[in-house]
Amino acid sequence: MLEVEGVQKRYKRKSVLKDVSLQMKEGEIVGLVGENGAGKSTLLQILATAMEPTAGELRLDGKRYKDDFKQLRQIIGYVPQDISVWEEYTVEENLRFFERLSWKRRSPKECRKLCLDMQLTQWKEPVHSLSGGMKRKLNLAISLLHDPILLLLDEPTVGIDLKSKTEIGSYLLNLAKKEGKMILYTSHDMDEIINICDRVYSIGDDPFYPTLLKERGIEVKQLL
Amino acid sequence: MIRMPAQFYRLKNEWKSVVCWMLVPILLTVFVMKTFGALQEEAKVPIALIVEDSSPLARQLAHEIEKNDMLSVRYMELDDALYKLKQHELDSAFVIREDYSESVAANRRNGLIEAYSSNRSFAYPAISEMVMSLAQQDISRSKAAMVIQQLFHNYGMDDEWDYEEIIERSEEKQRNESLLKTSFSYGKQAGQNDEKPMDFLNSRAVWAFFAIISTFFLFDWMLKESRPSMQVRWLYSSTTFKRHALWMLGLYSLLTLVSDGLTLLVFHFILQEPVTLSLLLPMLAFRLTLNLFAFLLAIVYRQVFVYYMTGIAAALLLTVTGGAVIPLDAFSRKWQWVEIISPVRSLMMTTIPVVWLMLLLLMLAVWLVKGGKRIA
Repeated sequence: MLEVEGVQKRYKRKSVLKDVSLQMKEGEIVGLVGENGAGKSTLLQILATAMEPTAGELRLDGKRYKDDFKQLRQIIGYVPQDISVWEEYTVEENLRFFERLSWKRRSPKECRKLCLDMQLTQWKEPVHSLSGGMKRKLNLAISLLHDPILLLLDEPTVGIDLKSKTEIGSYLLNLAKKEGKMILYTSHDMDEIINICDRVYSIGDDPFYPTLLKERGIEVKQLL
Repeated sequence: MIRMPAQFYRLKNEWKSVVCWMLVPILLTVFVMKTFGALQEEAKVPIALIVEDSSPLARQLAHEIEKNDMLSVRYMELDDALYKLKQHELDSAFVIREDYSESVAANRRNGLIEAYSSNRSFAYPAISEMVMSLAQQDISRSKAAMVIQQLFHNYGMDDEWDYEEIIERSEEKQRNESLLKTSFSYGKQAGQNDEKPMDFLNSRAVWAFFAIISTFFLFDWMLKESRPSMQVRWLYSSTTFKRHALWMLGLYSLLTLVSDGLTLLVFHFILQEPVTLSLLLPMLAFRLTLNLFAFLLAIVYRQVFVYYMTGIAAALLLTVTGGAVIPLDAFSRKWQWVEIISPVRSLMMTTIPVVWLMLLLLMLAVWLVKGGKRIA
């Protein structure tokens, strides 16, 4: 279970996150929407232990972020907005390189299965020759190598075709429902949010996204 | 099952480029030195030497003339030499006449050597001066020997040393005590040691130039891996980025040391350079300096192209201040810090660039303790 209470983040005089509180349970997919600059990425980075909050309390699986952030990284998977892979390597080489740095050992067969499960079939292709959708899948696959229980995705489907979006969506649904992983997901694509998320949080003052989702019958909880 | 560490796996995937960048400085040094050597051979002034006298003194003179780096000496008959001189294939021709050693012994200075030149013998005046000064040296030595013999005779010591022994002893003295070299002092300044000036193109410096560039190309992994987008991955890895980077630095340093060993073998066997044990430590220090320099700069840079350009600029700057392209002996005597600035000079003078090494090790320590906090 993920518990976030009163998280704040300030950059000098600018307050990005005022008082964010949320909870997530195993097997849940939670969407996070908001306009650009609302603080979605900042919140995700705080949850990913890549950034320290100015104030607030965070717990995952009963462990406090302040005390155990190094251990918590072993059960957190973070998919950054930028594609963080070796462009000159093949899909296989990328996975096998990062597998060697991972806490969890995976055989080449398991690595390959991870890719096949999300329809990433170009195992021997160099990354620079792959489509945007395939690169995004590889970006996701690398983040899953250590089998995290909390998966944080920062706009993982931006700029890719509908087919790849659907494949990634189905895969994430599977991860949550069959393997009980908690998934927090940011996106500007409302169809995607509606299709895969159990609950949706909105961040920022702009009522555009909450209104849009409410019109389509989705309840949105506002985060400050 | 033991799995290969990520650092080895990365190296395995990039072995072709690693081997390539390790061999490039060696191959280019051999190419430059051989090409330059061939050009230097072409640029030598061709002269003919006709040795009519078979005495050791005449052979010795011919050998001394041949030792001059600026001359290409060809032994032939006088007729051939004159024909080639007419064809302007030779700059000039010199005949060591049949009675050379007898004339020297008799202190006869005229007609010792015959010289021939043409209207295109641009180097003739200088070469004839040089040949004559060598002959003069023989005459002076011979005259000195005769005076000594006369003194022995006057004091009734005829059987002490004969003529040949005195000549031999004189040559030995000249060799051992550098009698024709001296040092000068100006005003209150101390005289300079009689150092051998550096060659115009030194193979060690040529190698250093290419080694600096290749090290930058070899260490570009550091720049690629320290990109902020890749740094995120290290948060969820079993090792930290700094530990990984140190491993890679050690691994690459080991490989470059192996290639440096190969370089020394090439220097010795292909370039016929003297390779002594005293060169090993300066070479090791130079390599460590270079690797740390490229490694630490890669942390600072964001763009690979700018990093490569910096590598080339650094190679030029360090090699020029090291006196490799234009010998800077006088320059560095005036400004001693040039040696500190250029580790290339330290390599050429077989010293250790202590200031560089200390500074770079300090910077590495600072980076390990404080640097790279772009991500919490």
